[in-house]
Amino acid sequence: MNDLAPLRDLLDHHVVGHDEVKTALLLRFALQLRVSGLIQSGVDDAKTLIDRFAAGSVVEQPDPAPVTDRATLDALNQRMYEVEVGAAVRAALLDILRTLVLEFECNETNSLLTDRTFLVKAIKILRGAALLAGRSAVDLPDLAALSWMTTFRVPPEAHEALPRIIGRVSRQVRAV
Amino acid sequence: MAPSAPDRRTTELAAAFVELRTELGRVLVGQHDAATGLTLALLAEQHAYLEGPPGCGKSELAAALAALSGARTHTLVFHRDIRETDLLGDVLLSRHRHRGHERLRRELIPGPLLQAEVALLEDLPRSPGEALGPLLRILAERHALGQTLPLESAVATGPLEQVEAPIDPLEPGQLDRFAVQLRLAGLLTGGLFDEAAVLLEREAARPPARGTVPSGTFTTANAAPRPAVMSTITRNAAQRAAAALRVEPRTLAAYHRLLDRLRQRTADESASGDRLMSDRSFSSAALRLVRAHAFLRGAPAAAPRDLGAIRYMVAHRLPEEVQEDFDHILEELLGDPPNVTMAETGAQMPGAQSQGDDSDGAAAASPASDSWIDDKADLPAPPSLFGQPPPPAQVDPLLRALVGRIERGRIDPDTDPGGQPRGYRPLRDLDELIDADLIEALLFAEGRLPGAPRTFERKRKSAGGAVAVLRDISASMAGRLTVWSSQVVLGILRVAARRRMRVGYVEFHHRALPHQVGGRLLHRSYSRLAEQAGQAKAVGQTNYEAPLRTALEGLRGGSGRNRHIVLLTDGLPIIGDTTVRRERQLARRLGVALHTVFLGNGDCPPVLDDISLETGGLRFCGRPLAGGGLRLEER
Repeated sequence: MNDLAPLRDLLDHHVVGHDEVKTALLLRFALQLRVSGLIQSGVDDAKTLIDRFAAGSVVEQPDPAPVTDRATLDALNQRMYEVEVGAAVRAALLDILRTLVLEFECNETNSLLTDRTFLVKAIKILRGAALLAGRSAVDLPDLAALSWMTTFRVPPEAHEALPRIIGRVSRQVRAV
Repeated sequence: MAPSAPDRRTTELAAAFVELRTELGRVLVGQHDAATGLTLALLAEQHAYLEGPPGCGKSELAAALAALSGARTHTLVFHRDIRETDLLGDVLLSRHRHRGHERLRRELIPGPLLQAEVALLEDLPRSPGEALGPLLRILAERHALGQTLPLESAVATGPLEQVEAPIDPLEPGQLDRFAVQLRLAGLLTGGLFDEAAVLLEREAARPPARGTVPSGTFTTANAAPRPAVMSTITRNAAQRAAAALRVEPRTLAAYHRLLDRLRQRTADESASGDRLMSDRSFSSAALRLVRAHAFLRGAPAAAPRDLGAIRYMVAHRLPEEVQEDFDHILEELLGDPPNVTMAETGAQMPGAQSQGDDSDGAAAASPASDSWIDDKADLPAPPSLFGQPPPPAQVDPLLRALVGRIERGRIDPDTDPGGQPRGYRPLRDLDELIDADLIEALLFAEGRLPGAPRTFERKRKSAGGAVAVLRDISASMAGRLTVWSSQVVLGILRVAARRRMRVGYVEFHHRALPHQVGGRLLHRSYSRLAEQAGQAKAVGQTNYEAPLRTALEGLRGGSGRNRHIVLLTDGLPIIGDTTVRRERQLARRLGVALHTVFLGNGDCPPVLDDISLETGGLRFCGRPLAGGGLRLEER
């Protein structure tokens, strides 16, 4: 749970006191991402950014212009519920979760592998991933989105192994 | 005089609460006990405490109870700054001019607790003491600020202690205000993957909730509003009728015996967990729940089987071991002959039992209902296992070997000679010298002790262990093999019962068909499994992977070394992973011994040998005899 530190820092900045509230808030984030600096994570990306600043083509604090509007987002939200989640994807999702529980021994003391997040919200995330990919049905590659849900919810070794687990399970499901 | 049958109005009232329970069962997948417990709490006008890990549906279930019951509801979300006024309301002082004089008017703005018929108390353990004290007092008295509250039932939720530290858990005395105490498990972390699959399917089919999409909002709440299934008039009438139900004298007698038994078991100092059998709960609240249970059954009076409702009270009142055993204790008290026989003949070795005992025990097995309302009288008589009995299977060699492994599993001399020291006893065997009092052992070795040294009297905290029986019911098992495998299963059940082991029973063909009790694979309802074992029908093809995975998931949550799986089959697996590589690995990691029993004349599949050898399990085969019987011997 030490990996919760970055999010806790964020909450510390915005919420004074109320430790319980912070913990509860942390659990409510369906998507959990860890963002590191470009210099730490990839030299090539850092070079690109430096080149852009050097060329004077990037403003340091730009005001992003809206690229969509509320009506579009509402319509997308409506369409998201029409995205089909087939039996194969559901079976694969369950097998991935089973692997986390049985092989990586994720349990109530070392993980937050909750029904609400991984059996209810995960379906929405998968639908969103399919929609962004322009599909009307969730496909096995969309399962990669699960990695954005496990960052602070399972032990680091399980989180790191997730892409491998997803690949293995997807291959098994395809074979069937 | 026999109580008269309930009238039509009473039946209608009961039906409204049955519908409430049915609808609650639909809200959450796999939480049937919680749905039943909450229904009983509202009908009996008792408070309920729901405990469980985050995201398992505590709040949703409590909210559904409030909505479906049609009660006036208020929700309080507890946090460390909540105050008494947040519960009861504020007093407003205002100044007025009256005939040239100034007057102060005191006006109460009633808070949620003064108005609610059903109060939802979210995250109650987060409450500071200043608010918790008054709240618990009000819940008990149902009276505050000079007025009687309309409160019928308060439903509180709280986390599991270890998950959301640093919250101080409520003490048993505080939790005693809640007659119904329910502990929910997550489907995923509880290993309930079949139920998880059902929930996934439901979520995948769920349409957007009404009001989800309107412009300007992005709420993702997916719970559609649910209409109430009863009016306040109906609800209150049912509560009054349930409270007025008569308790039969034999029910009271059984209740006294049950309390005695629970007291004895709770007094065992080796039992762990909370223990608080207060007068308040067990003299008053318990009988309210028992009456409510009978009312829901449509019974004219509370019968002994309605004592089953007390199982919803024990999460923080009895030690965990006693909780697990509650159904078995009650079965014994209500005179379930096979269980009494199996549980109270622990001194006998299974090998000493005759085959005649096998069939007698099985034929006498009385079923316990899977229904949330136990009603054995309404069930059909158990089918005879051996209507046209074939020559019996000679299962004793297998049972003797199994007993040997179970006994071996109880002791690891290197780290634990058999449990925690609880006192001393005389040395029985020189092998025990290693566990004797050190000084006396030295004196004994030097010949300066007149007698033998004392050795530790050890007791295991969780005696018994667990055994799961996986029984192949594929098409090739039809005929005599079905009967013989039933006999093997019954023999194993008796071995387990004598040692108070938890048992699981999974039939399998191309799928695994676990027989759970109260949502758990492992339990001590031996008679229920014995009855089930006589009903198997051979159909389908063979899959080892699914039953092994199911059993390992069930055993995974437990602890201790003494965990066994017995796989009973007659053929090669052709569905799923035929090598069961992952399951073998998992069994090794969990320390579960996989024993394999191959029945029939064919060649034993090599994978069965691999399974047993890798996990330290027994290898048996059962060969049909020329005379028509079956001999079981080690492979």
